[in-house]
Amino acid sequence: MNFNLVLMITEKCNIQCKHCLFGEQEFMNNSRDMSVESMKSYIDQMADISAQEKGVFTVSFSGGEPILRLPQLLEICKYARARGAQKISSMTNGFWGANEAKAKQTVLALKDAGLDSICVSMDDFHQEYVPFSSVQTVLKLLNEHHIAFDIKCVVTKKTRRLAHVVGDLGDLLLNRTVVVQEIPCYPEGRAAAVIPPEDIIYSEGLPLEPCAAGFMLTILPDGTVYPCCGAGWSSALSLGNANGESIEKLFYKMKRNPILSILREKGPACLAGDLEKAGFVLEKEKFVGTCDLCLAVFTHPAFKEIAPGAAENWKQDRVEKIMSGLL
Amino acid sequence: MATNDDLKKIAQKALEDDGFRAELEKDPVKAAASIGVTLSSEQAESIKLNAANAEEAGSRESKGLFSIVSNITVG
Repeated sequence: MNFNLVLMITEKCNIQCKHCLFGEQEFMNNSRDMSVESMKSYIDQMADISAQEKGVFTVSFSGGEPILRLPQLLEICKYARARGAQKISSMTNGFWGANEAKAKQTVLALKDAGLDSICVSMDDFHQEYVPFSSVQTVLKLLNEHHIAFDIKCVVTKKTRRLAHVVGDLGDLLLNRTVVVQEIPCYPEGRAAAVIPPEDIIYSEGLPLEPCAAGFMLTILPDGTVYPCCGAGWSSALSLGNANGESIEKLFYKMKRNPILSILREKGPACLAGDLEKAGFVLEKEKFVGTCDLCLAVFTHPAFKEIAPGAAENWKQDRVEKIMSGLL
Repeated sequence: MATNDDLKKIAQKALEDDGFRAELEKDPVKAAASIGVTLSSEQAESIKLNAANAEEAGSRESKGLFSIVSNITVG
């Protein structure tokens, strides 16, 4: 089993993209950093859980812009590597590619610290603030120094699509295996206020996919823990706070919680169906994707009414399966 | 070997206690012993196999999605 620990090491960002989920001014003004001591403690605890479960764990650094905390990032990468993390990755907007000589030092330092891969944001939203040449320099250096990278491209109906954005890289991806991903802009955070609703790319029909809640434990700088990377976290999804509870307790809460099991196995559409059966309607009629639907379900005023019944049904079904042929 | 009443007791406890249910799926003998029930090796094996099948059926679809969702982090 592979367990993914996602640490949001900073809420600070040097740019203010229109699509950002965390772009609300109030949030940006109060942006916090995660202490290195906390990061080490979370990694220690995840390493212990992983050993106990006979699995492996990976660590991903998120933000904000993680490279704004480069010294701390280098220190924690080395620590995670020493604690046996199977893969260590980080997000970045690529701003640090403006000066190639300095960028090379950064790439070498990251490699030396044990970073395996970087997910680079590359789309019209980011390129409004980060020159394309900076991102290109970062990717070129990652290529030269054999650090894997992914490209993440957020799109609306009005922005360039992934194929165009990646096309700008010319031969840079030639003979390279690179994960590129096009993500529809979610109408949350700053995007909710700035992006016209008619520009959002919605899914056709209700998103029916299950989600990965339970495969990743995501910790915010204030210690709040979520079971997913969250395209719009609801407090109803919060597992608790890592400053007051052990990661082990929160991890098993994530694994054993019937509602999260429903999300993993059937997706939020199942819970949306339960709401509908109980006579409630979702406030929105269309959704960008599973995360969008999940948020609508978990923030629905009647969710607390239907959740116990849904959990009970899931448990009943699960126990029947486990005891099948014996009773 | 657990009787039918013992197995009902296990099922009831698994419905009421998420931790017990998880332990039952992982180590049926230990979980059953914690409520005073002794399982035969066949019964334990059957529970383990059923649990593995239930887990696999549940995670089959979500595994395909994981590689995609794991990249959707903010930043």
